[in-house]
Amino acid sequence: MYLTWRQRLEQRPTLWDFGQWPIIELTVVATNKRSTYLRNRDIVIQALNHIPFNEIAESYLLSASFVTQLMNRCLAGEGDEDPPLTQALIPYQRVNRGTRREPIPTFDRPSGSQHVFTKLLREVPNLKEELDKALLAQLRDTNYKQNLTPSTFHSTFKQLLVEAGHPTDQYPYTTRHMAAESVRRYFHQRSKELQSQRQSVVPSATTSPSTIYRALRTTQIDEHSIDLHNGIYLELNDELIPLRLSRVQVIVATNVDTDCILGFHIALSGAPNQQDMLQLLDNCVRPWEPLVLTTPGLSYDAGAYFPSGLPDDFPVTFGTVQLDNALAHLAISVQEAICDQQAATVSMGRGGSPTTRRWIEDVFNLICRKVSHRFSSTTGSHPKDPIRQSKKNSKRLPPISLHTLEEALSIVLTAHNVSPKGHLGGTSPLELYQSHYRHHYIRFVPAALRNRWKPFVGRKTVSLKWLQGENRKPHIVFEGQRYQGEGLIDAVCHNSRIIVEFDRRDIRWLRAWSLNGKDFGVIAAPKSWLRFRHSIATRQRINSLIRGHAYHGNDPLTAHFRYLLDHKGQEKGALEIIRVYDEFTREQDGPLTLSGDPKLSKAINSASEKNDYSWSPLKANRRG
Amino acid sequence: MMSSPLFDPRFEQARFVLQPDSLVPRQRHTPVKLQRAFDFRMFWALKHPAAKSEFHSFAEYLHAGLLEGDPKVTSFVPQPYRLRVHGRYYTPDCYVLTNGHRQVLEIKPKGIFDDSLRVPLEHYFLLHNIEFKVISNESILARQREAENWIEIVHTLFAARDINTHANELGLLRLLQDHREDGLEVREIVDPGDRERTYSDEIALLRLMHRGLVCTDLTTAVFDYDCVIRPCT
Repeated sequence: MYLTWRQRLEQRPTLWDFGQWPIIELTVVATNKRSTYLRNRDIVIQALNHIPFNEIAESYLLSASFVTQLMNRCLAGEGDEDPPLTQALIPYQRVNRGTRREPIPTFDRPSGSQHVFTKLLREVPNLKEELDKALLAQLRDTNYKQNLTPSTFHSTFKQLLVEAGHPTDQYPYTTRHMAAESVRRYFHQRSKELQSQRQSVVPSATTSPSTIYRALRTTQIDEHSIDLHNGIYLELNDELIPLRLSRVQVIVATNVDTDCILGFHIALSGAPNQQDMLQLLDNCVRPWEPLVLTTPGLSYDAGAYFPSGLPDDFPVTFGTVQLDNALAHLAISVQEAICDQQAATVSMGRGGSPTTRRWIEDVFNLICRKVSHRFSSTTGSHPKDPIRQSKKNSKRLPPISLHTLEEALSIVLTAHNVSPKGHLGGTSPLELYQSHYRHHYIRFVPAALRNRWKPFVGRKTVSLKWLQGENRKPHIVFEGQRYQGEGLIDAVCHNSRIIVEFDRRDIRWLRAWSLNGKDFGVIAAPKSWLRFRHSIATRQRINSLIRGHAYHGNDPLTAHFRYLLDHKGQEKGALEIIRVYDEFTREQDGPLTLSGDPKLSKAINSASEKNDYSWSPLKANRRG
Repeated sequence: MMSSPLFDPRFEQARFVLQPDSLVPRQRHTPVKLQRAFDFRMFWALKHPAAKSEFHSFAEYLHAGLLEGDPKVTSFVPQPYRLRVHGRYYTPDCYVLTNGHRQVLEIKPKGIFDDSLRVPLEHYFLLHNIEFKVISNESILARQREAENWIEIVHTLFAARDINTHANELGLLRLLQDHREDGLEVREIVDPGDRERTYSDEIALLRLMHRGLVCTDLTTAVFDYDCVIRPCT
């Protein structure tokens, strides 16, 4: 129902008080309209104070009807809609869309067609719904939809009017073009509205803020790229090989309630894998020790630690671990480490809602501010792109090394833990962490349970095979290779399936058990795979390349490294070289040495002695 | 007209539900694609020991915490069945066994659930002597603190799943019977200064709470050293 200004004030008596009206800052009103706005405001204030309109009009040299008009502009309108109030005091401000209160024009009683189209949409049954349905079908790209244009939309409009039994002597039949222009405008405007409504439906986080505020209750983990652009020299066969690296990923874990960073790990690849995630979890839980700083000028702040570096009274556990939907986070090994070994909850969160994990994003902001900065693009979009790095600079290797980056990250992140924070009431994250542990009930893990933490160790049940016709020893197949051991000879008579336990970081040797728990000892991979320590990820990559005939599988580890060296020109390939080099040389003292030297035979001999095998390439009656 | 004993009009709508396998509840594993699409959570629940419990929303997750804290609930299974209703696949949110009474629950915002699914499902489960119920997210979120308390307790108990605390539980029950009126604060059972020493007692206490033999207020307070523990009966 339409209300005049007086009826509105009767309906809502609180509006008699101008103090209840919304405030408009004078600065947002255009300067040329300010004086009129102030005049209008004074008029309305006086009118609300029951001063007769004639007196008000006289004092401002206006007519009394103007005062009524102004009051109506501010307060009148439909009863179920909010009045424009203060907005209406701004001169020339459009405060309502306008509605038609006159009846729809006919041939007999033509009354103009202002706002009659919207009236039609409101009054003809199902007209608006059916038009919207047609537009939505177009937006959703549904099957068998009509290909809508303003013209076809107008046809639909006319058809709907006929179906609804709209009288043919009324608008739009009274106009020459049957409201074609109104329909065209409605088509474009409504399409935009519906499209924006569809786009605005972004998945919102269903999580409400927790009601419990405790250390280690929630941990957030995520990855972040760091532009590295540095060089590294690999020592191989007594030769130095220069490599240029592009960018690495740093994975960080932070505790939400105390803002305490639990640990970090640098992943030497474009996309971290499950082993990188496990390494981060391990870094967070295992006792942390400061790095031996080799870069001049770098030093740790006093008392700067990650929480795992504190005494045993404050062991790190996980309550809920919030991750995003990266594939590495969905790995079964990661979920097992968090859920099974840490007895925590994995929370993946909805896609496209990174703000639900804002604490970890804050840590990345810290890293960007204090550790890294963006470099010039090495390639640009085209040869003459001005953002491209100049030739002069591209030939110089930046002086920052990978090790320096690790040291800098370690220093900055531990310094964050001991810096007093305003939002923590002036205490540092580490102090708050210890305070929570002392004064509140936080989940505690005794030393006996802490020792069970083995994130890299996995178990698998495999078939035990024995090809008697080929006069072979019994074996199992693990990651595409046959593993043999003395224990399997005893096992083969009574067991068709056994359990093997492996360390993801080094799968040269496995430990075997029967399903009943009888120990069969260590079993070994083929000799050609024993030379260097390698992980499951590397084995899978090598198997894939051998299947693709990238190289031969006689000496797969050496061949793989040579293959990587052949592709060292690619920056991502250089990162893979560093990762594999680090993996191969982690347990040996000197630099990496490939085939053609005594170390190869020494490695094979040592492996043979360890497992008491007699092996030669001629005996290995198998392909590749 | 006499009605046949085999026909009951209440079951009329049940014909729209197809159940390909048995009605033994077993958690339907969430495919990776759906894990990435939902607000997915996963943890080991004590009342669903068959597998890691998987939840597709925060409300479902909290609901599991409330079920863990309810001593009348024997067990529950998230995503228990995969049914076809009117040609669409449908997985209920939870199956709950409470003192022999079986319920299948659907958790929806404001408790609004499409009638074209709800009616056949109600009839179908009634036919199998199971109650089908829709509960609202809001009713669960109103008890968020209680649910989070219980989830934290379940985490602790699962981490200590191999520890034998029979003797500690009996000793603790005797001690609490002696303090039936005033109760005991948690700090009198768990030493905040030496958690390692009193760890078995701590686990025994949480196990008794989980079984509903001893109680404390977890609906408004956060479980802490100053919570007062009393025998429930």
